[in-house]
Amino acid sequence: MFIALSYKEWLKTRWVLLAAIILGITSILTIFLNLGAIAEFNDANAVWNYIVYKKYLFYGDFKFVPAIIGFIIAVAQFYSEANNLRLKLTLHLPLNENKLLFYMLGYGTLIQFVLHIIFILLLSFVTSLFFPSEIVVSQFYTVLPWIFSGFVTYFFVSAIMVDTLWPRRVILLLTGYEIISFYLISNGYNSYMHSIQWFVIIGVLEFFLIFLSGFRFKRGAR
Amino acid sequence: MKLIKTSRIILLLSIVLVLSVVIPKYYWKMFEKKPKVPTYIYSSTVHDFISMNVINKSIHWLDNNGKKIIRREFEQLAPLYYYRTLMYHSLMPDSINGEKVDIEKIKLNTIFTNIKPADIQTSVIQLAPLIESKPDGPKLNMPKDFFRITERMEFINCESNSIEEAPSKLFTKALVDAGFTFPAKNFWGNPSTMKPYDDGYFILDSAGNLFHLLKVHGKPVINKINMPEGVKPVFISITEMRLREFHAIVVTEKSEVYLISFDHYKFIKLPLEEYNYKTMQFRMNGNIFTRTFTLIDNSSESIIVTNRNYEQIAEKKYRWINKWDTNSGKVFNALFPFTISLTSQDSTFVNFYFTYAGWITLIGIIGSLIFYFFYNIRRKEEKSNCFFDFVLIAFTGLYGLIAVLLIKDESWKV
Repeated sequence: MFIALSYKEWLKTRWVLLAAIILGITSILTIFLNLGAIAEFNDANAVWNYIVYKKYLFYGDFKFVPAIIGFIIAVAQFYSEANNLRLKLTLHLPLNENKLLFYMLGYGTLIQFVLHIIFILLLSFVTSLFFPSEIVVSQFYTVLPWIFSGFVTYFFVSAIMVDTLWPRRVILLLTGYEIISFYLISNGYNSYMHSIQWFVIIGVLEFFLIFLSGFRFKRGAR
Repeated sequence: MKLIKTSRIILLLSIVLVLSVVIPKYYWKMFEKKPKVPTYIYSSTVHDFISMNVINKSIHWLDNNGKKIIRREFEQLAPLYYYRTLMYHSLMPDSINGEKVDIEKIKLNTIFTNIKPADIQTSVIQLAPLIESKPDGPKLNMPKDFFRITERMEFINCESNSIEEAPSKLFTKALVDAGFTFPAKNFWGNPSTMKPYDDGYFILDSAGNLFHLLKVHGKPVINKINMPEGVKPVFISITEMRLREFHAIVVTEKSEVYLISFDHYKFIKLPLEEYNYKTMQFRMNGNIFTRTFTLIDNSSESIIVTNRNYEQIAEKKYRWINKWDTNSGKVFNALFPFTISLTSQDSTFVNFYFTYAGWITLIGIIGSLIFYFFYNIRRKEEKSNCFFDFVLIAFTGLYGLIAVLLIKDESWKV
């Protein structure tokens, strides 16, 4: 059953996945080209100084990429399902509705997880060409909350799509908007060093939002 | 049904979290008033504090007896502070306290430096440029490499991002010879060439010893510093002033402040009992005769004046009403039990900074609980187990009430 469902999700999301990969790779490529250009026109030591002491985030182009990816994957998976009430059919499959939603959301989460591991590796590789390990490590710490903003966006947008009533959608939208911004609030590096565990826990918990929306959908709250 | 309930609880908690960040933010944008804090200056002619006060949007200058004086008189009471203005108006006296006025000497002795909590409570990548202290020419130059001090001292070429073996070996050996225990816990310097001279780095090794490292003609110059018993630096500010009186300001774990003097790295303890590096800004003003230390937090300012031997000669404390003690603050605290802020002006770290309201908040919590109790009775629909809702309101007051009113329990409506 899970394989069949995964295949269905794959059919729904393959083009969006391609877009996500292109978006991620393009942003990393932009960062790489930018670094090349900056190195060409500036002394290398001045660039290092700027990064370490002025907290210049040369990888800032990546900041909103996870959130955008989370958004488009959620839309691809749930928009048509919820809007044409196709999810009603899906929910009538001989499978517990919560299990079903769990699979669907699990699929999207897993895909993003894999994508972001690839992106982090690529980004770290690019950075390590120009800079020593200290800067690569601080980049990892800095990018981590951005990546979690992607998961949180995905969970909230999915819940908004599945929920059927506009007042609830607005509440979810405003709450989600603020919580996502918590992950993107800082402009420096290493800012989340002492608190990242709390942000990870909050991010993971938001996974469960969809079940209330799914329940309301099935019951037909309108 | 358990899953649905969990899902609702998570949504409720998310809403409470958002409300406790957003409501206070906008509340204070509307109601916070800037505190009117006088500017105190220690007059080196009358040996007392004179002050500048903003009253009804106009500045009032007061002398040491609290008498209103005009601006020019005020400036003449603090000639070392306003020497540029006084010279411009040809009002600079010939001598102050019996000492003949020498403008060059005044300029050299007029110093200012400042340490903010966020300078200490931050994370800086442990890579730094070691500037040549005796450059071949009139100005300091940025080196082509950055160093790190891990298992040894390594210089990394910025252009090629590769380790330069020769200086790495040279400096590592010099550090080992000086008794350094690798790796470094921390190091502090001033990675800038816009300064009168370069004073290198102060390095804390893993055994807690302090070293002063300079690069002179490409060679290491290392001095081990004898710190007083029990001093554990958390922050060192390299001053590099033209007045070569002290190398640096040391802030310790116990919030003591020392100067490291140019005289054999002697530690001079400053008489700042109240200082707390986690919440207070430290300012130091100096002139020919005195040093003025100002400690500022969110509701008070302490000014301690010392002579040039750092013995206290005058003191002034000023408190103003903290925003939480104003009427708007009391109203807020009665309504909401806590505030969460993700950022703090005392740190560069993002975290959940809580501010609790105190007992007064029971008004809001009990009010919310009573409201919800009657609300539940009036609701004619079938009631579910709303035990959690009451617990949530008991802990989060009005935030919780808003959340449970927005997201009602529907798990019984199958």
